[in-house]
Amino acid sequence: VWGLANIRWLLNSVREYGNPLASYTPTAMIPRFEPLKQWLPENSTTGYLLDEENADLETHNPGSRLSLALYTLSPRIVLQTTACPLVIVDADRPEMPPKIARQQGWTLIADLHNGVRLYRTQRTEP
Amino acid sequence: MIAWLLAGIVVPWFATYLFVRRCDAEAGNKAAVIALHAMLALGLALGLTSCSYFVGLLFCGAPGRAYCTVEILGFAALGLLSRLGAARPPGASIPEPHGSKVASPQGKLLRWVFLASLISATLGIAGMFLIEPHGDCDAWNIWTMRARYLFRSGQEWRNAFAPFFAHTDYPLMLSGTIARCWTYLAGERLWIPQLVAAAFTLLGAGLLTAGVARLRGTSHGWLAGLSLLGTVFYLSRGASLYADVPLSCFFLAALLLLAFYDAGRRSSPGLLVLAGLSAALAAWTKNEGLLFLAIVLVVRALLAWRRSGGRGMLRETSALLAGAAPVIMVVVLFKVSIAAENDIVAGQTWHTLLSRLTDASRIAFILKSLVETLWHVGKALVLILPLAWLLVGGASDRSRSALPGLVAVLAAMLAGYFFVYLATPHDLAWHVSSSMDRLLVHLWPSMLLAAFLYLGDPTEYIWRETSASPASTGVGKGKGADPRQRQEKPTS
Repeated sequence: VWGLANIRWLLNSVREYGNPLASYTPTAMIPRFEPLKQWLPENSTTGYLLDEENADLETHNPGSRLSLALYTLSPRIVLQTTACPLVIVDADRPEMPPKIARQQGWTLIADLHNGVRLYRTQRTEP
Repeated sequence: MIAWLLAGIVVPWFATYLFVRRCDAEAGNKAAVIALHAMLALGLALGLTSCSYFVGLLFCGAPGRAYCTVEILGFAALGLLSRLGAARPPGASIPEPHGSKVASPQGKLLRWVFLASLISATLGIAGMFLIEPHGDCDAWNIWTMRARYLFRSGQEWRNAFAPFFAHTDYPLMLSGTIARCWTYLAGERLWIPQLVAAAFTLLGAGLLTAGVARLRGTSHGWLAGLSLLGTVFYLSRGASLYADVPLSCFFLAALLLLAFYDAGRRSSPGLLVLAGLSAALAAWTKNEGLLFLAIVLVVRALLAWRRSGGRGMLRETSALLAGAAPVIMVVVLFKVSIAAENDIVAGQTWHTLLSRLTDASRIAFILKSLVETLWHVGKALVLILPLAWLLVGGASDRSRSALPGLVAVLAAMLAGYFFVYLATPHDLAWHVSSSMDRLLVHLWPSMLLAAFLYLGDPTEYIWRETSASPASTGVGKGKGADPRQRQEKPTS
């Protein structure tokens, strides 16, 4: 009887499979970053900034979001810093542009319309 | 590309199988023994190939087709070498377990229940992969992440160990295996980490079943396997693509091989070589494996010294080290050339360490959490096994001679984990809640092995209860009806 306890686990997983995907799972998060690959050369280093004002931090752990960006964009290096020529700004509300970009005068390179934007900082000439 | 991958798995597997057969030649050619050897060989081959992948990376840079060809040829040569020379003749080094030839209805039923449980477990694991194909947090944060950087970075593969990554001191068995398979495929497929995870999860159940069957009889083996397959936490950790279940497999393989050695009348030192290799591969899987390897070496040396003096100790330790040495060299190479400092060791001072070790509240918290987590992982089985012992009693055959070594290693491992929690520089509550259940998963299959070596055979008990009449056996009510007494004095 004990050995068949895993049937309940199997049934639970079948039930869970029918549920909509939670927004914070890797399967849901990975496609958000995937299109950035076309602008980022392999083995390049890019900055990452979580726009906390426009991010849902209750379900999205900031460290996990950065890890998922690294996982998706590998072999590119993504660092939690704005001291890079290119910076990814990550938020959950696509309609709200990040304040820091306006304040620092960064140039928008790509807006993925899902809250993820790629900026060129003023540290390099275009 | 799939042909390359098949060759890259089958050739090392078969070569390792021949090596395992050579080391345990006296076990004979029964189907059950062949299956056990094949399962042992699969785990060992996956571990060994991840070692060769790392050595290839370190000395030759990003691997390509040339690496694949050389590796396949190398393992083919190893397989051929295993066939050279005279092996020990087959013979029953481990006495035939009592009741192993009894085809009881309960035994047949158990076989079908095991099959149903295995199918259900496999489907459950596949279901987990459908729900979250990238696995749980540590999978994409550590293990598969590192595999991606190793595979995708080309000559810049050392980026996988850049300081901003978590736990760069963790060894490479799992990540290396995944990256190596992608190299053979010349492309990245998500089903590779899933396949590796499923293989190790089911391998654990298979090894436990076949190992206990060899030591204690077939029905006992089915029961042991069912106990593990019914542990849902073990299955879910396996499906989460973590390294904890592969580590538990290497722990189990090493302890099983040592149990075969102890239970045999004239055991081959080849079993010790394989046990040493398994223990070293545990050290190549996770840092906890380093503790395991050290404990196995010390416990076995002490046991051998007690049993047969200094020469016996030297003989056993040499055989264990002969198996472990190649992998230990790879681990040392990794730790010296790549790995960062461990987060638990870093920043420790004698003063803070001493204050943590003598903090009674920490000790009480860890012990309380250990009991709670044991219940969380093992659930009702934690009660079922002692109850079964009360009902059917303990075993009395030679396999019990394997218990002291097995229990000593498990107790020392628990003590080691306890010490690590006591000394941890992290917040204790966080550290315990985030890892203790996984640490118990490392030991769970081996704990079940110990329990089933100790426990009498319940199916045999039921079989006798239902088939033997008091008149024919001479056993009636009263003193002679005590099942424990009957278990220990089996009728022929």
